[in-house]
Parts: sequence; structure tokens; C-alpha cells
Amino acid sequence: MSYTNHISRRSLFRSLAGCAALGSLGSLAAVGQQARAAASERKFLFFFADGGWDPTPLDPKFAADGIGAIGGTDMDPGTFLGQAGNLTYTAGDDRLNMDLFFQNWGQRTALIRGVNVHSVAHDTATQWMMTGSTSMTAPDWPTILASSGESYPMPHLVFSGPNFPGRLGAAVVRGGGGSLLELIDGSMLSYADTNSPMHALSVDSMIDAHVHRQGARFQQELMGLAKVRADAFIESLARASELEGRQFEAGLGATQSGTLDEALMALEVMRLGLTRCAMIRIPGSWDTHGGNGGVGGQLDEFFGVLDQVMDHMNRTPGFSQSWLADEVTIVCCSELGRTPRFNGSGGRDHWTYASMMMMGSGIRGDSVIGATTDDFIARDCDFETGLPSASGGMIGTENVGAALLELGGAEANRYLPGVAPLTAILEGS
Amino acid sequence: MKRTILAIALSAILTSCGQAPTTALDEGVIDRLSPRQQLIRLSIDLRGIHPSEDDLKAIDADPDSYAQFVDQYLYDPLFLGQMEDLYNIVVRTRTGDAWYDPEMAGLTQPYFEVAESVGSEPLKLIAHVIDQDLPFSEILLADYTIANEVVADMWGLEYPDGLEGWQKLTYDDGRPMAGVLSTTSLWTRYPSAGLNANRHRANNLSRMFLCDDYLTRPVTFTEAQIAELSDGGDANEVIATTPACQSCHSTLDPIAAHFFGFWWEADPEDMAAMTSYNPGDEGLYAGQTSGQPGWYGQPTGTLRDLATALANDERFYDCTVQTVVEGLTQRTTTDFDWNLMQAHKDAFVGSNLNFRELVRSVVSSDSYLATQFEDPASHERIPVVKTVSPRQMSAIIKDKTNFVLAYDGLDALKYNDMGLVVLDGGIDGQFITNRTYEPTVSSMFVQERLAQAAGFRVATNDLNPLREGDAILLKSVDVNSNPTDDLPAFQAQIRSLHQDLTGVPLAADAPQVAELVALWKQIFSVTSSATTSWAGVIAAVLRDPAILFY
Repeated sequence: MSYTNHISRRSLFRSLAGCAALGSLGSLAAVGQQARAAASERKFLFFFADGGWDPTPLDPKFAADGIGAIGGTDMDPGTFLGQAGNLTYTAGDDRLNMDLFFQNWGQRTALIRGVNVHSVAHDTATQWMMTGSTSMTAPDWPTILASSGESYPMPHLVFSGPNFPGRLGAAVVRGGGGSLLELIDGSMLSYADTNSPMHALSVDSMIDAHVHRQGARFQQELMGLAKVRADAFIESLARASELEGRQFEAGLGATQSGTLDEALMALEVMRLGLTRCAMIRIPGSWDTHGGNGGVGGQLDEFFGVLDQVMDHMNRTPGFSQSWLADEVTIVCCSELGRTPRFNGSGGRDHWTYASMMMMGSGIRGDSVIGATTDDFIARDCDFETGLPSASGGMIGTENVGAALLELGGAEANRYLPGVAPLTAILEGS
Repeated sequence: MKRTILAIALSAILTSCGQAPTTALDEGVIDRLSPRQQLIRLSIDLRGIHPSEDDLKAIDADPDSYAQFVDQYLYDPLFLGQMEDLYNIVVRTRTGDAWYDPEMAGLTQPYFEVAESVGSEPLKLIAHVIDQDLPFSEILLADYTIANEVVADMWGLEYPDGLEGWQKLTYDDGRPMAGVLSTTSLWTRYPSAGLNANRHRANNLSRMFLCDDYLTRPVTFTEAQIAELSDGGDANEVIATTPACQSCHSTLDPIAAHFFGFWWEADPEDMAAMTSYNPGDEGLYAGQTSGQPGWYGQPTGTLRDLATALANDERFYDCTVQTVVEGLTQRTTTDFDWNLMQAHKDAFVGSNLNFRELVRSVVSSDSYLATQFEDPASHERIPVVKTVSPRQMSAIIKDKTNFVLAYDGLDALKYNDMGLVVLDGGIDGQFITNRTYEPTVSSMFVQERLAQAAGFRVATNDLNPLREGDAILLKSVDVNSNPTDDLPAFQAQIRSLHQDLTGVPLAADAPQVAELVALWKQIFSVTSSATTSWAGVIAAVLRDPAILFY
């Protein structure tokens, strides 16, 4: 079913509110702006490793033989240098899925090394990684992207992991715990202490239309923050109504809680044009002060999921592109790096330089962007090439974020004025 | 100049509409809410529910009676609960987590009930200080805590026979008593991970009571520092000798040094060992941090000394004012608010740190009641529309309809067990620590389901011919009424329904009356059920922006 042909309850509201003109302008506006429209239609799936993942698996420090350690960085026992095309990584028998993934998808994957997260505290570094600042009012990258471009019923769907809505909270839908799905289909009322009947969908639509009219009246003549709240009421109501009508189409009731399940559900709602961005927490104990031994297994599991996700994206038609792989960008990150040397417990403590990974739509594949020294200190880089350069600068989370916003057609300069985007990650750079 | 003329003209128009301020307005404020809306805002903020219709009629009759209602609501039994919620956004102890297995303390209550009690200990102490009109610094200086039977059992406090509920109790494990800083519940919420040597606790003290979060400061490492650390250097030595590190650690570490008595033993078999204060551990800071106990350069000794220094610090007063203003106005204060904040601080300090006087100052200000500012830029900082919290939404619906969306006896919008609090824009105190004031898709669904169930609850009760007792809302119609036969009665019912639920009467020519009659007919046409039709109409009014926003 084509989204543009879908007569949604939401578009019904728009006409009720006297905004019918909006609908007729959409297709005309797109003509002649195809390249820009492609950016605004791009979707983003974020994976976040809560706790600060070890950056060395994506930024290995081995001697020339590919096995021995070099001076300033300890590598996990039993690991060795892995390579696929231009990409190098830390391979090992406990993480064979990394080999599989990079062999299958290395040509579509970029590794970003030496990203300065500006902090060694979890909460603050998370904020830096996701927003490029420490302002409590700054929205994170997926929230900004979800608020930009096309409009979606569930602009940013947070299955799990961090979320900083800033003043764009209306774009965020928290889906964790399964309660959202039970709210959408109303089944949550069936097992409340006071059992309640349900209205038929047709009755719900009648009620929604009245509430929408009241919201439109309320919205009039408000300014500033008050208008932001009233606008969010109208927009969220429209989004909820559309979602309610399309819940079965999206198969939302079948959602499971595993990482792969969540990722496939995120891709499904993206395919249906219901969502632009999604956030999923990568399971595992990444805060490895007490020992680094479990990292390989956790990476193996995650890369196994990623391999299946990429495979799915390559076989599944997209919403605006032929295949999801041409439409969805995947971003994998964590809030911190970890120390290059093991501590007394064989673990790694917090470090300010992190590694990230991106793949899929719009990403310059088979590329390594940024670099660190043997002691795992970030090197200055040229933001256009991603190569080390004495005349360049240190890559910060804000530079990565600005590039992501550019990739999604959002106004990077509005949210990060004066910040240079790391354009090296962009396809064609 | 043009703006001033416009302001005067607009004020004149509003005056003719019956919304005129009856007293002079603060600089920059063009107009305030109508008297009814003023009272609704005040009541939701101080009591969590709408005012009674009698109260609304009283302020209609005397628009200058607002100050009397401030007096009344500040001493309303519901006031303290609202202040607990306000401070929970800062203290964040109500997380739904009891931190330890209640069975280890011999408790058999449901886990969530234990978690709620544990999370409430610091908040109940704060509420006690407010309730007794004590100087607010008492929250740091009290030589007691406030605990119920559950908290007492969990932390090994002696709970007197013959009492019940929240009572003044004392810890007898040798800990210095320093109000909330002595509560086990606070420091189980903010543990020390060992390696951070209580700095986590020190920072949270600073964040909560000085409104200064060290973690918002960017960190920059030089290559030389990193090289030293990665060569196995002593972190404390690097911190002590590096100016950039000292910009935080010179003040943070001396605060952290006070908390080593709470450096609990990790013995999963022994609840007391994991939660009791150990005076013998107080000196463990030596070698763990780079500082002796102190408060911004002033040497201290015990936790009590720390509390005293904090209680006498001007920044504690400023932070209290900031917490209350931001909590009651749902916004972030900036330098533009300096004059306003100073006025509130004067009221607070001038009343010997009386919390109620601070609240009175905030809710009596024109900016709190404003609908229009002379400078449009003020609207970007100050929302003239506020959003009810999940708890307030639940309380309002319960007050109007007797309905509570509950699971296993727990209000789903008060306790986050079902995740609805967060989905409705609230906090869980642990992972979601900031409220979302903008409605979201998920909050729309929460409100839709809540309104739907409440609507059915009222319609089923009120239209039941065998009902015992008065109708809740539908007092002018019965199950056989229909708008074709008796339109005036229908319209009168809809008007009273709207006023009962929103607190605001519809104007004589308001289109909502005809629209709601039409909605009733629409629903009846597909269901042939008067009960379902009224349930739908009630749900529609319960989802009106006039209930979500105030």
C-alpha cells in the first residue's frame, strides 16, 4: 500500500482543521528538490551500548604481525587483527560474527575513531554523544531528525536506550515495556482492576475528531512555549489517531523484546512510513571496570544481529527507496571510550575517546574516519577526508552529530551553530 | 512605544471581555488568567486537583479573593503531596526500586509498596519540615528522619508500638544526624561505585541543593595527563597536581570525603552490613580522594558539619528558590529572571526560610498568572500554558469521576510499574529524570484510554435505573433520554458536564454544545446505546485541552 494513497484519519483531521491546502502542495514541492527530499526521507536506526564500550575492537592496536601488542594499548588476550577491505578490527575466536559482518557489509560500513566525548562520566558523556552539548534543553540527534523533513505518526520510536527530547518531545514515542502497544490496541484496559469496555474504532474516530477541533480552538492566539505545547497536542493527536488506524498493518502486536526483534520492528514501521528514527539499547555489560573478558561475546552477539539486520534491509522494499538498505542509516555508538591499558582487575576504566560505526544509506562505506595514537589519544583529522591532518581538528561528538543532521536534511547550523560537520562520513565525500 | 499602545489597547479589549485584572500588574505582564482559571491553576499546583465548584463560584463573586485561596490551599491536606512530587524531580528517590530484597528485612509487602516507602523517606522529611513551618534548612539539620513501618524494617530503625504511618525516628548506628543527608534511602539511591570514592554522592548533593551539577562541565585531557595515567600513574596524584582537574575536584573531593561512613559492605547475606552507617570508616577518605573533608575551602569534619555549612550557604537558598520556581512554572530560569528570583528569595529569607512563604511568593506573582507579556520574547521563556503531570491527571479524573486506572490496587499514573507514568510524560526518577511538558503520541494514548474507561464508568453508573446513590455527572438525563425528544435537557446536561469536568462554563453561544450533541447522535447511530454514547461524550470532554493544560 502506498503511503501517499493512504487516506488516513490524520489527513481527515487536517481537512477538518481547514488545512486541506497542505495536502495538495506536497507533491509539487517535491519536484525539483529530489536530492534534498532524499535526505529528508532518510531514516535512522540507532544502537546504543549503555555503559561505555571498549573502543579497541573498532580501533585495533596490534604490531605489524597482527598479533602482538604495541606500546600504549593492551589488547584482549587471544585477539588478533581482522581486516575486510579498508576496515581493520579486533578479531578473535569469541567474536566470529564480527568477521562475518565485515566480510558481508564492510563495503557499506564506516568506522569512526577517536571521537572526543568531552567527559568521563556516564550521564554527561551520554548527553554529549547524543546531543553534542550538555544543555538540558538540547534534543538528541534522532529527535531532531524525527522532527525534520516528512511527518510521521511515530517520529522517533525509543524501544530502549537514551533519549533527550529537549523541546521536541512531541516527536518522541517511548515504546519500552510493551505498554505502548497495549495502549494503542486498548487491551491494557481489559486487565485493569476495573474492567472497561472498548469503543469501536469508528467511535474512537468520532471522539478524536471532536478533541482535535477543541485542540485547534485552544491553539489559536497562543505564542512561544504555550504554542509549542498546543501544537504538540494537535500533532500528537493526529499521529496517535493514524497509528491507531494502522496498528494491525504494522503488526505491532507481535513485537518481542530481543534486540533483533526490536530492530526488525523498527525497520517494519520505517518501511510503512510510520517512523523516521528508532533507538535500541545494545544489551550487555559494557562498563567493564571489573574485567574485559565478556566484551568479545557481547560483540559477537551484537554483530550477529547487525548482520541479520543488514540482510533484512537488503531484501526488503523501502518506503521511499527500492530497498530499506538505500533508505536507512544505522548508527552504532556508546557514551564513552575505555582506557587503553587494563586496570588491576583486567578491566578498562572510562576514557574520553570513543569509537563509532555507521552503515547503510548515505554512508561512505569501506572507510575509516579519524584516528588515534598508539596510546589511544585522538589525532587531529581533516573533516572532509577523515584522514589524520596536522591542520585539521579533533573529532567531537558535535561534529559527528552535525554530519548526521546534514545526512538527514535537518538544519545542522540551527542546532549546532558554527560546528563543522564531519562530512567524511557522507557518501560521495 | 507602539507595543505599549498595543498593550493598553489589548488590555482594554480584555477588560471589556470580563478578564480584567483587578489589581496593578507587574512590569511586562499585560494580562492574567481569568479568576476561575487563576484558581484552577493554583489548585492544581498546590493540591493536584481542580477547585470545588463552590470555590470557583466564590472567586467569581469576588475576583480579589485569590490571596485568600492561596492561604487556604497552602494548608490543604493535599499540599504536602504536591511538594513531595515537586522535590522528587530533584531528589529522584521514587524510582520503583527498593534496592534490596525486602524479604531480607522480613517484609512480605508487595515489592512496589516497599519501593515507594523507601523512595519516600527523604521526601517525607522535606514534607514534614514544610508542614511544621520550620526553617527549610531543617531538611539538612534535623536530628531525626521520617519513616514508616516499612522503612523502619528495611533500615533497622526502632518503630514505636502503638503508632502507624510516617513518624519521627532516629538512626542508632552512630551516624551524625544531618536531615536528608543521613537517610539510608538517599544513599542507596546514590551509591558509591567504590572507584568513584563517593564523588557520585558529592555531585548529587551539589546538584540537588546547590543546583550545580559538576557533570555539566566539559572535561579536557592533555596528552601528558593521559600518558601518565596510561603508564599506571596514580589518578589521585594526577588530579591533585593538574589545574584543569582541580577546577572540579578541589571542591568535589572534600565533599565526597564526608560519606565514607556510608561505604557499605557488599555482603549479600547481611542486610544490616549493607545498609548501616560505620563510624569507623569515616577516615577512609585518606588515600581515596585528593581532599580532606571540607566545604569550598572551609575545613569540616563530620557529615553534620557538612550539613551545617550547606544550610548556611547562600547558594542553598538560591537553589531552593530556583527549584520551586522551575517546578511551579514548568520552565528553566535564566539570567532574565534575576529580578523575579530575587523577589522570591527575599520572601523566603525574610520569612526565616519558610517554604510556604516562598510558594506564596511564586504563586502570587503576575508572571505565574500571566496570559500575555508585553515583550513577545517572554513567551519563549515563560509558558502561559502548563501541563498537568500524570499524578495530577489521575487525581483530577478521580475527583471528577471516581475512576482510577489501577492494576493490583496501584494507580497506574502514580506508580510507574506499568510504564504509563513515563509514557504520559512523567519521570521514573532513574532513567527518565525530566518531565516532558509537550504532549506526545504516547501521552495521547494514555489520556485516551483513561478518559475512555472513566467515561464508561460514569455512564454505566449514572444511567443505571437501579443505581444506588446520586449520579456522578449525568444528573439531567436517563438511559431513555435522547436529543430529538428533549433537546433543551440534553443541552443543559452537556453544559453542566463541561463545567463540572473543566471548571469553566461554556459561553451562551459556544459551538461545543451543538458539537457534543452531534457527537452523541453520531455514536448512537452506530451503537444504539445511550450508555456508550454518553461514555463517548464524557471521554471527549475529559480529553479536552482544558483538562490537560491549565
